[in-house]
Amino acid sequence: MAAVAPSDGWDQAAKGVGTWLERLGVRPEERRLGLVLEILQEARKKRTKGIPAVAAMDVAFGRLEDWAVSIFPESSRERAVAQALVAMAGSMPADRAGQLILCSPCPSEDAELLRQFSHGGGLEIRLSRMTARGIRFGPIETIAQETWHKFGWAPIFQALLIWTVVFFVLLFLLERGRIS
Amino acid sequence: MRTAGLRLRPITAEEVAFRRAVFFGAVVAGTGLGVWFLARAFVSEGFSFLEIFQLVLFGLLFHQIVAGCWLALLGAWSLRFEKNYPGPWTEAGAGPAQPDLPRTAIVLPMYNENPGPIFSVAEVLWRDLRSAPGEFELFFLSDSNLPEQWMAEERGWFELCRRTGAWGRIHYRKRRSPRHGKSGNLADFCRRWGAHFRYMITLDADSLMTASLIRQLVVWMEKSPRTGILQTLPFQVLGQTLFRRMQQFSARLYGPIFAAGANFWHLFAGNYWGHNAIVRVAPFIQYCDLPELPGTVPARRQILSHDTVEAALMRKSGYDVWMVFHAEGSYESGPPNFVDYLAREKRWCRGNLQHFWFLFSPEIDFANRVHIWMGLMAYGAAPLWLLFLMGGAVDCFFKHRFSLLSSGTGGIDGPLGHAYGTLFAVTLGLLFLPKVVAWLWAAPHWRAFGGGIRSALSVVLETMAWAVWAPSSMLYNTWFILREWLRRPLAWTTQNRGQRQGLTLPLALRRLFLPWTTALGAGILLLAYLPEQILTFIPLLAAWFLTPWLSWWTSLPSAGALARRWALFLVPEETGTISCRGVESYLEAARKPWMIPGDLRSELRRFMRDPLWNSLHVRLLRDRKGPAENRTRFPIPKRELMLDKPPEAFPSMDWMNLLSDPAACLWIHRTYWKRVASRRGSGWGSAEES
Repeated sequence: MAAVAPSDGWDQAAKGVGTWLERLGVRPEERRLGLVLEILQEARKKRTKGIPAVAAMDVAFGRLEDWAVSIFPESSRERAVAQALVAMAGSMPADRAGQLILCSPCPSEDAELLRQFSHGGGLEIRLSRMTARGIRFGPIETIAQETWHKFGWAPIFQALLIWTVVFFVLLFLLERGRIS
Repeated sequence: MRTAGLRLRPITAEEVAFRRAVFFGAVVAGTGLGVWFLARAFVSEGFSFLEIFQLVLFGLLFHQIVAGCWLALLGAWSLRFEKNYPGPWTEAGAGPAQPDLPRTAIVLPMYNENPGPIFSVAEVLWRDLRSAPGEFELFFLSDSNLPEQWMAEERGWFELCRRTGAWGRIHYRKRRSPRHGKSGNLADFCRRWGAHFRYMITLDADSLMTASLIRQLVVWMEKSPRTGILQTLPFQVLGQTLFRRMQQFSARLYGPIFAAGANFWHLFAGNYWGHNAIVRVAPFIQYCDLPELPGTVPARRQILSHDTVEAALMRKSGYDVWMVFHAEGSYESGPPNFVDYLAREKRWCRGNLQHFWFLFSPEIDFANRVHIWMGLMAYGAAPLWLLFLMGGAVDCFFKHRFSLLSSGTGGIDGPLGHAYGTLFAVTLGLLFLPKVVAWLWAAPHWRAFGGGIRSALSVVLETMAWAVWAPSSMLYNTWFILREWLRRPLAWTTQNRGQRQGLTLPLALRRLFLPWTTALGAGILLLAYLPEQILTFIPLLAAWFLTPWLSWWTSLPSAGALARRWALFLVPEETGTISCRGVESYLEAARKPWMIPGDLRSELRRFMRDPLWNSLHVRLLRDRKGPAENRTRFPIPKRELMLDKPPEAFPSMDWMNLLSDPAACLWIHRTYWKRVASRRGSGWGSAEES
């Protein structure tokens, strides 16, 4: 395995990939370092332009997807990654998971164990029909409905307004002594 | 207190009629006596319109007090003298759990609640449940709308499954759209998974039910196929602030006799409180989906407080609703201070007022109508009391003026004044009698409440505190009802259960401005127009004025600790003296949760940085169906922007939208790492930061 020269931002790429692999839980450290070198080599081969670190991370994500799809071939690449990581964290101790992740090919018994772990958040859905039944609210509803839908408020307000005006006009005239 | 070896017996129609006749007869007779007494005093000076108004108000208000007193008395009688409680099954209690219990779901709706204690308590419950027969599954049903909350809940669920190994038995579901609140959340569960289960145990985020009680409830339901709901009586625990300690003490001491009293008359037509209960799923699905209320505004047609209506619908479908007030092991928490208590009152007030529509529905059972009426009056009484007091003051004003002009035989010093005095004394007696009865009933267990003298002192102090708060509560409830009538309802907010920090005095004065400003205003008016009567109104004015100060002081955990040191407001769960064995591990888990959720930044950083948590989130999201153009993808320029700036720069809604899109979640995780690797800046700090 040839060493990667720390030039053109590849040292940053190495550090970034290393940190990501650590977060991913890859163990032990020697294996992690080996993976960093492999990923950087592949990235250097593939890269034509752009930032080295981005190219390296693309390779790393691609490797993760390849590994996950090899376990969950029926899922999309993105879904397979999510399934594999969750299954691994849920079904095996961290040490074992750290050795298995990005391990190509994945041992068949481990792959089978991960495939068996298919727990999402919920149970298999069995739909029931739950719909509200109508209920009669009795006379209060009748009154309310009539008030809302049949009762015209506009004429009431108009009449109220007219009589209020009439009242104040009369009051004004009374005050002025025009009406005795 | 626990009725070990409890035996229950079936009930006959005659006994139901007799019990209801006793209770309602006593309430009607007591109310009638009070009204007659006041009317006689009014008649002695001739009826005025104001007095008729007062008499009607008095009747409405007095029946509530009389009913409360009779509930306590009949409850104490029932607990003391009834050897076998009436129930839908012939025997239950100490018998062994059936080995083949049906599949039961334990459902726990969550809405922006602290997930730490929830998952810690759930772990204890799960381990407890696994140690005995029964097929249980646990569902966390989240409607949270805060991104950090969502992330923490997912993490909590995963860690819980990892700790217990209960994969596929403990479930987490987050609704994309929290339609119709908690009732919609439960309805969604019923629609998706209800068909798998015969029963569901409904819990609240702060609920705590022991495994033995849960198993016992399933056994009881199996023995009584006519029962649709069994409601337990939850006690409050884990009080640290003085306010909550007082609440938990009073609920523990008075709660059982009131519950037994309610059970005395409602029997198979009990109420449902929406949590700490077991529900038969099939009839619940078939009959209990909530109808829309009449109205012209769609938003106001949704039922907010669903439980009472669900109980009524269950009864309407022919199933029974029983309260198992005698079962121990059911707990909840309460508001930590008076301000949060009022916030809860605001929610319940809105919900209960909506139930008015069902009051006259011809399809509702009589007992459910009574529950609805009592719920309405719990809040409706506030404006009526205020009107009654104002009416009394105005009446007093006129009578006083009249008595000065005339020979001075009438007015408040005449027969009316004596009648008022007597009625006041009777009312106080009716209010305090239940407390005395409850204290006496608990005599064999006084040690569990801190001893005879200390528990008596606790009762007195709690009563005095509520003498201060009750008038303010009346003011606020009136305000809530007024807002509702003016179509300006107050928001339906989450219950605050945090007890770490109390209120500050300025905050208490600001949040409780209504009582103390009313005290000042009313005091000035009284001094101006009725200075001779100022002494009569001093207790009321003082209560309003003292409310912020008392609320501030009782919100302090240090005050609660002081009370505990003096052995005041103790409950059996703290003294560990009776019937609470087995619950310690639950309380400990709630007190010291293994999971501490982070803030927005730390939770989102974890989601963005850690492949596992990002994958878990993507795994839990459903793939969006339909043509690609119909799937709302979170726009890439916005994603870039959200990586550039700190998380706090964007509203929760933006984060919720991003977190709802699996592609965007994956994109942001990968782009974050590309940026970290290339040392391009982001508003998120470096990957090494914890």
